[in-house]
Amino acid sequence: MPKPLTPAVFHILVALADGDLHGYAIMKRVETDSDGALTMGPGTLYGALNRMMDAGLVRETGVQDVADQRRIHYTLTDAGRVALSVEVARLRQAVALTRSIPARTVPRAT
Amino acid sequence: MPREARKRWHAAFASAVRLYPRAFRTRHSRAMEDAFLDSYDAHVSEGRSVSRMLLHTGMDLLSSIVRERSAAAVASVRGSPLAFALLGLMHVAPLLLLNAVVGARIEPLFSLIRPGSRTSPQELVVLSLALVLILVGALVAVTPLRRGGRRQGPRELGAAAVVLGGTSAALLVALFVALAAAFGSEIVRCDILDVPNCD
Repeated sequence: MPKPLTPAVFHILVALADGDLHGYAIMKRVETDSDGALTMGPGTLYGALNRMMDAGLVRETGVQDVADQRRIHYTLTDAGRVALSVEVARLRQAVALTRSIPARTVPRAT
Repeated sequence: MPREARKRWHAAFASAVRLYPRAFRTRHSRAMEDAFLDSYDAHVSEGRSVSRMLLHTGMDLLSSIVRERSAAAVASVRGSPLAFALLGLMHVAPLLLLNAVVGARIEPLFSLIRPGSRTSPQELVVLSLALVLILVGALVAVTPLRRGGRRQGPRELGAAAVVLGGTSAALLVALFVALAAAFGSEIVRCDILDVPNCD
């Protein structure tokens, strides 16, 4: 059974699922997707991207922004898409499991 | 003034990025600086707190640098046959320590190991563990050969890995055999056959 992804890796995969993004766009997208709960700085983002590139989950696509020649974009690889779909399936299973727990046995989150 | 501040913070960020391991820096420093500048500009243009962003970025960089430096150090040790050979040879240390305690009668350890005049059961256990550790050391010394051999095949392994790992492991195994035979015969002569003046 594959290990659960870290929140940073999961959110980066989700951010890139819709299309290629550069570093700051990924940071913004992760912040929006998590309702501000996960704010990534450049260190966390590129540390995670570095490990994801080594694992073959994402790759650089080179410079795409015509207006700004500097930007390096990142894209999901096939392995990245598989990892995301496996994690989504795992989370769906977890959500289904929580639905089977009677509400009165679970303390309300504050 | 804002442009000067931007330039100054950019320079500070670029200096901090230099603290990353070289491989990481080469791969990501430019993109990281771009992301920092984008974030800085967005905070300024949206009227959000720049000082808060700078503080968050500083903390983020600090933890990330420590993480990447640690990962690089672990990776370099994992890939170093010399580190494994030294680590393997260090497994002799407990036996040397035990020998020093018994030889120099260092108290209170000596009395704990040998409460009576003869070799005690606890001394035999400690001695056996120290000897077994030498064999564990031999396995540690050849770890790069075992890993590398599986991944790359013996031909692709470096000569250094083969010589260092192989020699260290051979030395440790020879030491284990010699010491086990010596201690074994001494225990038989002194404690079982009761040969006078044998210790």
